[in-house]
Amino acid sequence: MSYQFTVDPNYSGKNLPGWYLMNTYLQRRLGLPLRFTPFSTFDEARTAVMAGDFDLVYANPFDAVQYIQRLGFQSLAKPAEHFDEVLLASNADGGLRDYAGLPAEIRVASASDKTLIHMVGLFLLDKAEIDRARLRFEYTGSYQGVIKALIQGKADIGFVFNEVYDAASDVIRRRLHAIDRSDDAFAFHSFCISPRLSEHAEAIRGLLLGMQADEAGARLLEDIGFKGFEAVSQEEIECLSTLAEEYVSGHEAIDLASTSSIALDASAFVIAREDEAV
Amino acid sequence: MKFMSPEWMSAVARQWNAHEEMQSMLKNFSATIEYGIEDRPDIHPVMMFVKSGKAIYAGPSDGRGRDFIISARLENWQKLISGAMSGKVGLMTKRINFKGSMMTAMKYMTPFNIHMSIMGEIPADFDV
Repeated sequence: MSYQFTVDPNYSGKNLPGWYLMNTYLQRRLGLPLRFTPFSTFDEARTAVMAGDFDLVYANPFDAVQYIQRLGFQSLAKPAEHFDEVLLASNADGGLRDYAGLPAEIRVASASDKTLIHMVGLFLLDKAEIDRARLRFEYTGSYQGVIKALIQGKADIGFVFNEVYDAASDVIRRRLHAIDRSDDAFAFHSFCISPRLSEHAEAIRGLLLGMQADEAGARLLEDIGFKGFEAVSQEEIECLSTLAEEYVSGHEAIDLASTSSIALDASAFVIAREDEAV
Repeated sequence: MKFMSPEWMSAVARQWNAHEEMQSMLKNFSATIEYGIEDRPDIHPVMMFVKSGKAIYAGPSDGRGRDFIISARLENWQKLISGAMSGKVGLMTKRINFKGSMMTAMKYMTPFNIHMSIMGEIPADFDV
């Protein structure tokens, strides 16, 4: 029986050969039969993993939380000194350079609304005081799709995962303009294993954490664009779980005026710890 | 002033209100925040009310509903407000015990760190 391995779609889209090499490396070093299958969209990947077809997944933060909570996965390792951030991008040739230039109705390309990148993208717009009622979303299934939508002029702005932007070719990057960029250093992708692989958890974690000290491992890390991997703590997973649960449950819609006993006057209507209007 | 005393918290609030960047970043933010020292349950928690980014009350916690509760061991408070530990690291490692919306905490991580730095600017006697 082979164990099945997949990665978050934006990674396989970014460097597919590198991830096939990663599969070979893990298979040989662990002495386990491992089969790599890439997916082109978030929904396809998530559906396949949720169906119980996969044992090792390099997952984005919110998917990782789902796999842990619903399928009993364990999160073992994350990229060292590296976090998921969002680039709010526009078409460089389109003349949209900053928030002030956004049209009344804003076409936003996003890979999926079920990702942390989407949530943080919304945060950036909130901080710039862009009314969410102005947003019209187009979900592209992948970050490559977001970039394509921007370049083709089908969207005014797009939520682009920082790694996808940073790893894009100069030609692509020249066609995009960064209006804003998050700097939260909070969430991360991680290698997660199913209960079927749990007896090999320590071996897998040890192999991933030791890659940079191994010549072949270090070469491979360079290929797939990482400095190395480090262990994930239970506390970090708890933080991400809380974040994901709040996001999924639509926490932001809570009317704080009815849940808090703060002596706010009637003019201080509060939504999710934020005033609706000041 | 003793750390986490009502007087000290009032000084923090005054400094908060003098910080233009905080006012700007938090102009859409209102909340009640309670602060406590985990390993000193004998010290009564203090509280701050923030309305549209401005601190409108700082003093003893009076048992009202709290949107956020932030507590930590005394040594971790010292690390936090001296800048030796960032707010994010404190949250992610649970060295800060945080109750409230994690989404809001993440969204306002920069002002949260500035808040901690403001606390560090107010001289405090940690021999509490």
